Amino acid sequence: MGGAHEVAAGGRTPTARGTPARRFGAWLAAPVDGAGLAGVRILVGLVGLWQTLRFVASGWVATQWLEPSFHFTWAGFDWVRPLPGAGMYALLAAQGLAAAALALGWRTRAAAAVFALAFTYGDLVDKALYLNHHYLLSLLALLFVFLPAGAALSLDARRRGERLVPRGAYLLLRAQVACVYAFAGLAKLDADWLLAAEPLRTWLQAHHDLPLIGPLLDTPATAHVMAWAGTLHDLFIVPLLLWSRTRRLAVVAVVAFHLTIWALFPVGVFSLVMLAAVTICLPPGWPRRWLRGRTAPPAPAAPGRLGRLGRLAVALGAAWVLIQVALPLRHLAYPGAVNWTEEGFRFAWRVMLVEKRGQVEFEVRTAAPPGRFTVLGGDDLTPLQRAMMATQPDMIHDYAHHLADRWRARGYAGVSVRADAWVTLNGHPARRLVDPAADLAAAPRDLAPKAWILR
Amino acid sequence: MSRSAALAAVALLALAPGCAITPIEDARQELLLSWGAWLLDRYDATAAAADALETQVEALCAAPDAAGLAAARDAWDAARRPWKEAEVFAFGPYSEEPIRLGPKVDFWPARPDSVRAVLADTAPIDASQLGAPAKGFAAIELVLWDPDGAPLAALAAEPRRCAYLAAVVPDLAARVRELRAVWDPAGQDFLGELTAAGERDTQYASLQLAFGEVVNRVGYLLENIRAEKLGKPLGVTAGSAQPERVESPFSGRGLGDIRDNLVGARRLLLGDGAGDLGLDGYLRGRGRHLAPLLTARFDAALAALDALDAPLTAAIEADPASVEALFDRVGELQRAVQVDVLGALSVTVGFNDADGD
Repeated sequence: MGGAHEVAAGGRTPTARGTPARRFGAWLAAPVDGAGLAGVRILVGLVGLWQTLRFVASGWVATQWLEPSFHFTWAGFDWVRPLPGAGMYALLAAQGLAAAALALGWRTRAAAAVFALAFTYGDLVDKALYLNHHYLLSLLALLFVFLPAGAALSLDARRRGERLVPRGAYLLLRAQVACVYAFAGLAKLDADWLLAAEPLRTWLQAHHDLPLIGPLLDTPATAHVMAWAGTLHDLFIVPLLLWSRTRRLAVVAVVAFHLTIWALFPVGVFSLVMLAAVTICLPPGWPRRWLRGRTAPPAPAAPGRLGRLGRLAVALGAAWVLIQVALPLRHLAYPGAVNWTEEGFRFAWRVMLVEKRGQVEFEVRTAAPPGRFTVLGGDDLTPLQRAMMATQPDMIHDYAHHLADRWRARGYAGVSVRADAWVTLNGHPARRLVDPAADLAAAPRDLAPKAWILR
Repeated sequence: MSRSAALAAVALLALAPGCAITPIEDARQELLLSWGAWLLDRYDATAAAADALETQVEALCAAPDAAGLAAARDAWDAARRPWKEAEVFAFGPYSEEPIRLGPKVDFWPARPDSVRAVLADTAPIDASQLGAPAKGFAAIELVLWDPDGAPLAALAAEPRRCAYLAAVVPDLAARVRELRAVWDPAGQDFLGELTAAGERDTQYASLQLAFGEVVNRVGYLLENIRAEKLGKPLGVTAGSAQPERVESPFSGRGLGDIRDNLVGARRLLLGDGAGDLGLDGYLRGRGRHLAPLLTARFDAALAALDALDAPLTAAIEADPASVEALFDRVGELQRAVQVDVLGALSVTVGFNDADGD
């Protein structure tokens, strides 16, 4: 870490004495300017507020939450359902107010907690709504509950006075952001992405009507250049931002990268979330430059030292990072290509890697009275739910269970459900995704590898 | 300002100061215009055939005989063909309020009781006051084929039947012309909602979304054939067979309707066999060669349809296996469109229109 606004505690190097663990603890506890942390908090709060407003304005409360009669719930969170009456609107109101409070730094930890709970609740209603940047927003909000994000440039700080923050707070957030980019980059080390430039090539072709650059975007060479550049960007942008010698170039690169994505692809607030989060890699005092000296960091404090609470915080932070590393790697525990099976695909930052189209039909067989029923796609699903289900085995599985329940409720016994699912991935010829002979209604809903997925 | 416009603006500022800008000819826009012209032609053909039907019905009612009845039935069939070919475009003014003209022309499943109620009444018949189930193709079909007995005798014995036809046949032509005018660029220009997407404020945010709407509609049509026109009558989706739910049940044209649907879908995807290459031309330009797959799937579906030599209702009872084979072949075609074609085009349903990964 470096930068002009980082406060070297007490003018001494706090890492000079003691065991390596103590020295590392002291290094983590060293007080630094909290402005950079506040900058991320303010930007994330504003993005959260914007996302809340556009969710309401776009009518998604009704179309995504209230109107569907069936929701693809998450295992362990089946109890998360759309709140009755105006409940979801009230939830969004609380979420929006919390986002604004987070940006202002008013009751910062409480605001972060309310935002994290409300936003995560909304996302947990239906798997079809899963978005990587929504997941990141939830994680950042949760981190703000525990990190001193309101220590500077906040209403809380105005009331209590600005405080320095432990260096470890920056380290944890940087580790989080680094996980996002690093795993996004590692996931792109893939034949489809690097050799065929898919799905980028297909997506770019949709823009060939743009003046001047349209024909350029339509060429395979452009897709390949952008695919490789995107991989290098994701793999190296965090170290390049952290290193003072490459920082200026890296800032230009990251802004250009995310603005290009925003302009070309329908990724919602993804670019805004990432541009907000990545500022944590800048020197801690960067927001004060924008404030042109109107604020200054507090005077250097005494050297940091890890107390019992600090050691607990370090342990929790380390556990957090461990989980953030383990989740994207969990697909290694499953056989087959993760982009195809999607076992371990979510919560793993595998962004912009797949262009999938699918079609799934179900056959419900009943023993008593004997019967055979074809269910085309899902008559009680929204277009989004149908499209998502058609390519994601766990959602096909969920819907098979739902169909079995439906038929049992109609008085049938001995209900079995089979799926005929065909998917094309990144322009490859369509093939079956699911064993058509497997009774999905009898298959348990757990995290074990699914033998009925055709790999 | 849209994202594309923003990007284009940046590109223009950066790359082309002082250069004259020539709009790019977009193959999707050209294709939408070509499909639009074909749609208007189909509606023209329907309206013209409906006019001919009016003439035949007048002659039939003036002198009811077998030849007149056959001519009227042929005229009804001639109007039906282009209408069913254009069914891919059963969206926008066809199905959405406040216009929603589709059911006024082609209400289905038919409700014979609605027609019989009008025939049993004594009040003057004003087609504009009739509900959708009591007019349009199905109502005319019921009178011309009369499942309850001999239509010729009924026409001769019940003058109200001719009065009814005299009201609903011109109304059919008028409603089709009304629908055409809504689509017509020289009229209300709903076609412009598609072709000018991204250039001006239309209900589609971009040309890609407008393009995707039509291609998606081909998939919906094929699914509708399976789910509603075959699946429910056959009983594979409903549990028990419901042969009475077939389309055009009185004339026995259910299979013909499906054939016309397939012919229309094929025309859009594979062109007219002459200069217009349809969607395949666009796909080839993008390096995707799906014509062999699509051709094989269309041929298989049409062959399965040709293998049925009885009206659909009878075939469901006498030869359900062959009808099921047709159901499966259309399913394979549907898969080719909804998986392979839409995958190649990246025409996907997002979280909304703007929220991807």
